[in-house]
Amino acid sequence: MSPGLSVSEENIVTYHEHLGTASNNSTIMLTNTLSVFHDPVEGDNQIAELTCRHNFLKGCLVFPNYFIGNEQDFEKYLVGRFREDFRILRLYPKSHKYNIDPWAFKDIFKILEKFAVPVLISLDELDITGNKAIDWDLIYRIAGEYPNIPFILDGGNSKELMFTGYFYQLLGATGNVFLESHNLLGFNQVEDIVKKTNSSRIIFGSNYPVFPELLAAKRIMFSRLNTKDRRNILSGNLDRMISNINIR
Amino acid sequence: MNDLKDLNLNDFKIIDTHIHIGKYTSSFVNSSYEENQNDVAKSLNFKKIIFIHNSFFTDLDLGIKNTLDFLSNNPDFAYAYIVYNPHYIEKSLSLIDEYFGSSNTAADLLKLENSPGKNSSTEKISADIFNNKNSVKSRILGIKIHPEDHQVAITDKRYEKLWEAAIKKDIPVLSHTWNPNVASKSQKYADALLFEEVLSKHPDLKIILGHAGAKDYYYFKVIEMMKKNNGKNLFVDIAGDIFYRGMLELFVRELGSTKILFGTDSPWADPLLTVLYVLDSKISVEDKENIFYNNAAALFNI
Repeated sequence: MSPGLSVSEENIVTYHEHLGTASNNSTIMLTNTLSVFHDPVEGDNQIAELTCRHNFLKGCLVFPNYFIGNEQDFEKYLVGRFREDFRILRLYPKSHKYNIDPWAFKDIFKILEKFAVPVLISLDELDITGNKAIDWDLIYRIAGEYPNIPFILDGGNSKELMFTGYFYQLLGATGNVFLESHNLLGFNQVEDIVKKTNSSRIIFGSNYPVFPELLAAKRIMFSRLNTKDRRNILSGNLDRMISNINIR
Repeated sequence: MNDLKDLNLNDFKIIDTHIHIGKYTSSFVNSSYEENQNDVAKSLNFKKIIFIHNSFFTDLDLGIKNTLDFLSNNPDFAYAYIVYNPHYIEKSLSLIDEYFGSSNTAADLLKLENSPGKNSSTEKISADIFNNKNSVKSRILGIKIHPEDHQVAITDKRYEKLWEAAIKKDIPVLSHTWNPNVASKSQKYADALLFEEVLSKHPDLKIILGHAGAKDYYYFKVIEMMKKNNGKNLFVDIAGDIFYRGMLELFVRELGSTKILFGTDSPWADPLLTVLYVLDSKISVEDKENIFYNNAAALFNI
């Protein structure tokens, strides 16, 4: 994500209107590039202000790396952010320099497991060499050890989801790994994944503003899938995931 | 439930100028366009495709055989590129001579009819075979190069004979091009900006920059190069996973829509995505018609 591709609050509102026109009802899960490239807390404070003003907005919380070594304080932070309408935790282990291997990140994973908070992680962050060597095994191990955490793999800028069969093996071997849809660009790829697994394993993502507004949504809306599968992908799967979050 | 009818695709005819047919083991793709193409093409109002058979990247003989088979099985719809492999120059040039020579004309059929030792049945069989080959051959329209796959830079002298042949026989050349500053280091061989040097020596070439020189900020550099070479037959296609917001509008604004060809790079992008990308772009209907169909029809004479 390039900071130069950030959009204004007005753009987000317009995007929601267009999405609403296309789908009758929509929620936007928003990540702040400020949280990714500058400071997660400052960036997510901005999101919290937006979620206050717009009930169609929910936040993607970026994990602040200063909780490494202070894991005991993370639960309170997470619950506080949940009250500010954050619903997904985003991890940037490569960019923000921490290890999410189960032995290293166990205190955080235990909290996420307790609350069943969905985790979103980009394949770019799992590219350990910078040369498209994705650490699929890590996700398999984490998902196996923490079956109550839904792990959503975002294709990021990587083309790996188009060129690899590893994720089929990962989906087959786990029940709590999901694919975010924006980078499922291959011919019939969405339809093939639904056929080989089922539509519950795909979570809609737009990659807006990198992609044009409705491109990713229309890919699903006009896909060669039935209505139920389209609805699962566009909203049903994430709705169910979020309703399972155990923070009261 | 959304239906493709809602997209009003019948308002536009489409030629896909950059599509791949056939297996390619280093890329995991479940669905084959070949198996699904009639369904997809009909639903998206594709009138014609100009394809590259993936077996060309392994073996030129297999590539041409599979290309001819696909062409035979898809009359009135499929057209093809042959691949020039700079590691097999002689073989590549012989394919160019055979498929872009003057041997597939009515004059040659006449020669066959007048040759001694013929009888009416052999004459008919020969004519039928010749006509069929003639028709199939005439649907090979361009040459594809893949500097990244072949790891030979666009400016390498191993392409010189290709440029000469392409100019002499007036053949458009489609080149894979990409941003050289990406994780895959071999993309440096396919840097679109290298065509500036090629075109300075061979200004009469017809070149299509596949993937518009992808990705990110590199589009700005490609646009600058194309503006500098404005009088030349230099085109881009929009094939591939290059669906950046505002990019198509920028290309149209800076270069005009007549320089842009529609291509999907299927199966490495779903054709629906590329169609949606053009349909929903903020350009005129005329620009969309040019991109979807008119430019390719003019360039390839189809």
